[in-house]
Amino acid sequence: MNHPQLLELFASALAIDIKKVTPDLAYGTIPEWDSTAHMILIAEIEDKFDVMLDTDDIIDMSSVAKADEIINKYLIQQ
Amino acid sequence: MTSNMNSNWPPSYTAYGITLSPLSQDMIETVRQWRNDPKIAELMLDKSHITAEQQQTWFDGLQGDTSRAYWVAYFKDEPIGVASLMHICYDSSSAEPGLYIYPEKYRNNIVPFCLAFALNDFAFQQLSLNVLWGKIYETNQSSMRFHQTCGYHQYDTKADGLMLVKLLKDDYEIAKKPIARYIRY
Repeated sequence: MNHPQLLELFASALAIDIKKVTPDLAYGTIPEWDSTAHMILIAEIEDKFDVMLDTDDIIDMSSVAKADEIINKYLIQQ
Repeated sequence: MTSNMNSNWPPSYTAYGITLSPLSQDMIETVRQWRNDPKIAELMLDKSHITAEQQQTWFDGLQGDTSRAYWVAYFKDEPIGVASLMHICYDSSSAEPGLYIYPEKYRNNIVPFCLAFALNDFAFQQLSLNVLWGKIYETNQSSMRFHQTCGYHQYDTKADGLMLVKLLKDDYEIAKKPIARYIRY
């Protein structure tokens, strides 16, 4: 994980215990990660990391590890 | 509806990266297979298995019926689901929308909102409707959250566990903004 603070963001957006948030956590594996929670997560990520995500990246953000990878891509570009 | 609109009903509509393409004969078997998949059927009010003959009869009945509209939703040229408007009433400016997305990869992110917004914009802007009605199983918390995020409000609960919700045009426009700003196509 390049950005461990993502774990807290996921726990907050999905309203789950942070102990459940691992890099392998993916949507479709827990009911809390629905489309509404996903958009709450995106809003928190954009705010926290001061980035503007492409819609395709919002769709591709299908796991904690993938989110970490995508955010890293944006921060490297800055 | 004029006879001219009857022959071109429902029209195609594109918004938010989604194209609503009128359900055609060559897609009804694909749609039937989606609809019969347990992961979709379990979300339906009518969960019964649909035979090919039933599907064809249903599709034939849609033709020229401007009180109903069915589209296949395309995202990046891929058919991903179905959108519909039922009980379209021009006197009361209302309809009952429905939608589902089949590929798992598009269900739990922004794509459901893209599809819902395209369908709602068609209803409110193209058909000039003022209210959309919906029914949601109270056990389907994800669907309820989704509808609330789109601006729906619950107005009743039936004894069979169905929550009755409605979406007013003005409430929709307010609710849409925070999500639509992330749709950057």
